[in-house]
Amino acid sequence: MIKKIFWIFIGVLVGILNISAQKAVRHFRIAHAGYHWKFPRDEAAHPRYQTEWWYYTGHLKSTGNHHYGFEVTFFRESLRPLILNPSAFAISSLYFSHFAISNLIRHQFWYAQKMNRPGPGLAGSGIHHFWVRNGRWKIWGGYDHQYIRVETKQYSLFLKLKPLSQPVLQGNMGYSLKGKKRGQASLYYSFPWMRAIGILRHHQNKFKVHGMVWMDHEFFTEPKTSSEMGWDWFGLQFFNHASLMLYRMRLKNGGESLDSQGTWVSPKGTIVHLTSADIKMKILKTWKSLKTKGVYPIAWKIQIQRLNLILTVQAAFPDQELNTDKTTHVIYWEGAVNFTGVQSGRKISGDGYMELTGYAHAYSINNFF
Amino acid sequence: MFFSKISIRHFKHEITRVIVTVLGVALGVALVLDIHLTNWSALDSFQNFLNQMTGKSNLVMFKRGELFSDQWFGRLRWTRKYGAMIPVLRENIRLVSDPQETITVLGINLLQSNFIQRGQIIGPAGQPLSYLNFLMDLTNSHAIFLAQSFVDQHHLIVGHVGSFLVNDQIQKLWIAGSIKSKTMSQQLAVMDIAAAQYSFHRIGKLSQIQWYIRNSKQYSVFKNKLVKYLPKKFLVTRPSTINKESSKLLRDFQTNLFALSLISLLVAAFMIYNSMFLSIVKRVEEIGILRALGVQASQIFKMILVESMMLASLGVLGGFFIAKLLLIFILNIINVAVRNLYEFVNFKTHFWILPHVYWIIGLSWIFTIVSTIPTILMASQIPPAQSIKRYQAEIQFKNKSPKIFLRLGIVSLLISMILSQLPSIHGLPWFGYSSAFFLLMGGAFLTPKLVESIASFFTKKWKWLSLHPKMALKNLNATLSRSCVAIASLGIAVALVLSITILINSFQKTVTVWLNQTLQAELYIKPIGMAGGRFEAVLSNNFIDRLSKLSCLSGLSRFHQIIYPFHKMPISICDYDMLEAERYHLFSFKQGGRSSEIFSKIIQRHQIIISEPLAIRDHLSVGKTIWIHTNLGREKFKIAGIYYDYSNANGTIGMNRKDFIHYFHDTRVNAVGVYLKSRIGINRAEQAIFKLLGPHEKISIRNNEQLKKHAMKIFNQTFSVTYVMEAIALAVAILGVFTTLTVLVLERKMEIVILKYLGMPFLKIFEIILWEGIWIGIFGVLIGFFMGWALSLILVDVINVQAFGWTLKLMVPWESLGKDIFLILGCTLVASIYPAMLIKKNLTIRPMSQE
Repeated sequence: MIKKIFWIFIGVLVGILNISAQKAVRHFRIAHAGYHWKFPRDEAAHPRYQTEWWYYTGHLKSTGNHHYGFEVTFFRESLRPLILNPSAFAISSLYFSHFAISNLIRHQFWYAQKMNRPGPGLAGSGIHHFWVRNGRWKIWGGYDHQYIRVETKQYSLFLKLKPLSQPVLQGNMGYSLKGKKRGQASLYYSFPWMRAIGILRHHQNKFKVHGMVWMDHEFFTEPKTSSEMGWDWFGLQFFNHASLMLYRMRLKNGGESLDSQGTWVSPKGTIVHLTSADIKMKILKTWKSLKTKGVYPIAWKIQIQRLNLILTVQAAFPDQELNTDKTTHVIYWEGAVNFTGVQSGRKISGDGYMELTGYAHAYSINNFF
Repeated sequence: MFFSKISIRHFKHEITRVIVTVLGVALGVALVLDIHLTNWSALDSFQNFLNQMTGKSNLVMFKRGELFSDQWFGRLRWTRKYGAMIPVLRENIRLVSDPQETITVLGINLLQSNFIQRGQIIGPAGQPLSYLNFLMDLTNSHAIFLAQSFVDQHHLIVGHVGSFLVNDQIQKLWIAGSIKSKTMSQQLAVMDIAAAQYSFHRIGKLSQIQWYIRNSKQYSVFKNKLVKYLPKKFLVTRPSTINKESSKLLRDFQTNLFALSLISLLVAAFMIYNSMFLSIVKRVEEIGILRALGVQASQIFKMILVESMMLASLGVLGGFFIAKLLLIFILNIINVAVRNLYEFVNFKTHFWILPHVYWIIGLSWIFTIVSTIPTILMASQIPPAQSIKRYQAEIQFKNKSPKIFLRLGIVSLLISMILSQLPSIHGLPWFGYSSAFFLLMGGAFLTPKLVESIASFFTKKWKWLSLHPKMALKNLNATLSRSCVAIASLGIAVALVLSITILINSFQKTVTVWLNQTLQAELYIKPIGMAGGRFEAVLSNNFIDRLSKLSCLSGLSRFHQIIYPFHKMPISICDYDMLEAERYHLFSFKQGGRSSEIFSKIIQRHQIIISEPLAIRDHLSVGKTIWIHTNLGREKFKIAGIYYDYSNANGTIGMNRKDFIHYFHDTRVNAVGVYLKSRIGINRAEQAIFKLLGPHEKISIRNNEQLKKHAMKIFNQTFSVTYVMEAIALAVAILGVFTTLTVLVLERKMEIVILKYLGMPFLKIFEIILWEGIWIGIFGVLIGFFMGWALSLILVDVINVQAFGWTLKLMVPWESLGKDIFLILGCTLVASIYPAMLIKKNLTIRPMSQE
């Protein structure tokens, strides 16, 4: 799944760093169709591409009948400094991480963020083996298992994840077009189903947790165009073990980009790629943030005729907004959702995660920073 | 109201006395206030500067005397669970356009700093820097962020490249932004850690790692864990401990300065005492009448107390305003002294907002009032019959007081002698100060007996003395209670002048001899980035290699120093090639035997020499051993000799270069002495050395004479503040002489008129008054000379040794002392002209008719 939230950030960053798209392309690789995927190698970092992220969202339950949603993301953004500084602390890249917990029983939302530079004991990522570290937060693993360890004073989470399927290559064999120009694409895959077991600590209380996790990994170089207003993204896990990823890119002129896409994975593992023509989305309910005044669509009706599917997706509770002023300077909504619907006359339901960007502010450099 | 009216009435009648007394007290108070404010500001600025370098951090780890690998930052990753961890690289740089100004650059992880969040960084457009521009700047390996005040003061432009001196190189740094902060020292700058490592050629190195441990319960647990984890060569401590240690010497220097300034207040106290005494003697009749009318002794006490309080208040208030006028002047000279001796931190003071102002003013007020209490007590005990016995008080004083004061004087001098033998307390010579105080008081107490004895000797035994000086002497003897206080206060001021002159001369001569003995090289080279006497910048080894190959050289003496915490003091460990040191006589030894014996010992491993200040402060002697934490662990070294060193009061350990490299793995060189084959070729040698330099290399070369001159210039700048103290103390004392003579003249106006009507010409009377001034001057100088001599012994042999650890050979500058004495006598003569002129005004028939 594409987490486009950082595209504009990166675009602006690259622009500000006086590295034009051409220069960036010159220094970094751009995504090409026909990329030769090799796992577990491709779970690790790809520093030859300018931007990369690892995204985990999921629902966790504990023995005490607690129910949580969580988001753990690690972003790597390579920079192109004017001088190649051999210092171990040189800012050759930046690492950003977000960690959010949604208490689905009490309807409480909490999040933390972290930014670091590479350096001894600071941040880094493996290029042959999968590990990404940002301070004391870390994700790592191999083909069979992955691990998440994030710690803060309020919450800490340790999860052991086991993918239940092969990685799903998004778009055309993992080559996901993002625009019309050459290079406006990313390489990415997902693990829509990962079984998670681990420990969640809230202050002094520790809970054993288990649940299902969705993981995205994406890397690319070309920044996105700035004509976009924002996007709406859904990662839905059906209780019948199907999964659906959808994203809708909204344009500043009020329209919808034709680059909007989706991927349906049936319970048997059949993959169906969806285009914008296949997807119809309607806002059912909005919520206004008192902190940022952003108005977010938190309930949707989604219709995919090609799959004979109608869904009503609803936020688990409204306030799951993040203001990442200490790291990426983006205000967005990313939270747990659940859904019900009908597919080919059969009732279906499930839960998942939804991401809504561009509702608090239009994306421009001034609004970001 | 009744009593205050009486007091004001007297003020009106004796306006000259009041003005002069107030001025005298004001000068004394102003000096104490300014010295205190300046000292406080210097310490505060220095502490603030040190605190800013550690920020909120409450634990710091560093390697004794050197940098360490930044890989430790990764190895200590586990410590993050206890608190935030900050890598620090510290470097001192200087502006090419103003090399006097040193900037301490802190290379830190700027991504963790909150300067940008607070909007404190101002970008090239004069607006707060945006977050993304800030990130962009962090990728620039030459980006530096300077304090806004520094940028403004030096007319630098944000967004432009500035030229800075780093070690022996000129380094271009890009001024990415200025930091707007009221509390930030202007001599502090920040760079991103990566940029600092790159720009200062310190790739892979850190000066410190700092932590901010929020949980106080975990603090000691973490500290203990860290100490156990780290090799012994690392030191883990609170930043406040280092700051305290770093500022200890500055604090000691300033305590000495403050103690000296108190002498002016003492002289001022004498003056107000004298002034009140004169006022009371003049009003004996009036007080006697008041007593006869039924006014109680306690009421008289209150009345005079109010008067003395008013005088003290006016004096202190005047002191406040004079202090404000003098502050910048005193500040500048102390600033220079502090920068030369201790730290390069510039400081300013905010006069009006300091609670210290009120503290000093309150203390001075109480002190001046307390000094008048004996006078007030005496006034309150005047019996009613006194109204008809005008000179009774004087007769009583003459009969009893000289003997009492003699006893008091002898006791004070004995106490002074005993106190001078006691050791310092925490490195501060408190007993030395007390000894000086009792000495001055002893001298003051002995004054009446001395004046009485000398006066009777001259008037009775010395027949050839002409009439007018004799009459003047008799007058002084007759008014002993008044004249003695003026003489004593003048004596104290003279003692201060003479003792400081002797101290400075002894220092100057001793240092000159020491410099001549130890500075033998023809040329001295240091990196241009080195500030003053701080040996932090280094010469590149490549340059030294090139230098040593010059054909005109007969030899090189390399010098390198690291700062090492020893017994809670930041001392220096210097490495010398001891064979070179012996050859070029770099040391003058105080203890340890002949220098050849000491050098033969020190070239063996585990032997060191130490400087005299270190030996005195830590009670170390030859043959004792000390432990030093080296790269190889804790090592024991035996002291082979103690050498004189007047360049560093902190203390220094001298180690053979081979040993130093062995134990510390440090081959850097801070400065070199160049010995030439022929003295004629100094200029040519300088040119040849400059030719060795690369395009960005920059060094400073001084020849032997220039270096000695520079050392003496620093020395003189350091002592300049003492000249101000002398001048003020002397001014106060001269004002005291002026007041005394004025009042004596006014008091004796009837006697003078009788003399006039008996046929004595005005000029003769004028001459008698002038002679009285001269006699006061002579007595003051005489008493001051002996007190000054004794005080100089206390300053040189007690206070100086205990405070700084330097032994000096007492050398009296007779010529300079002679000039001082003539100047003081001249001043007393000038001070007596106005009182003598007053006679003319009073030569009227009215006093005569009264009589």
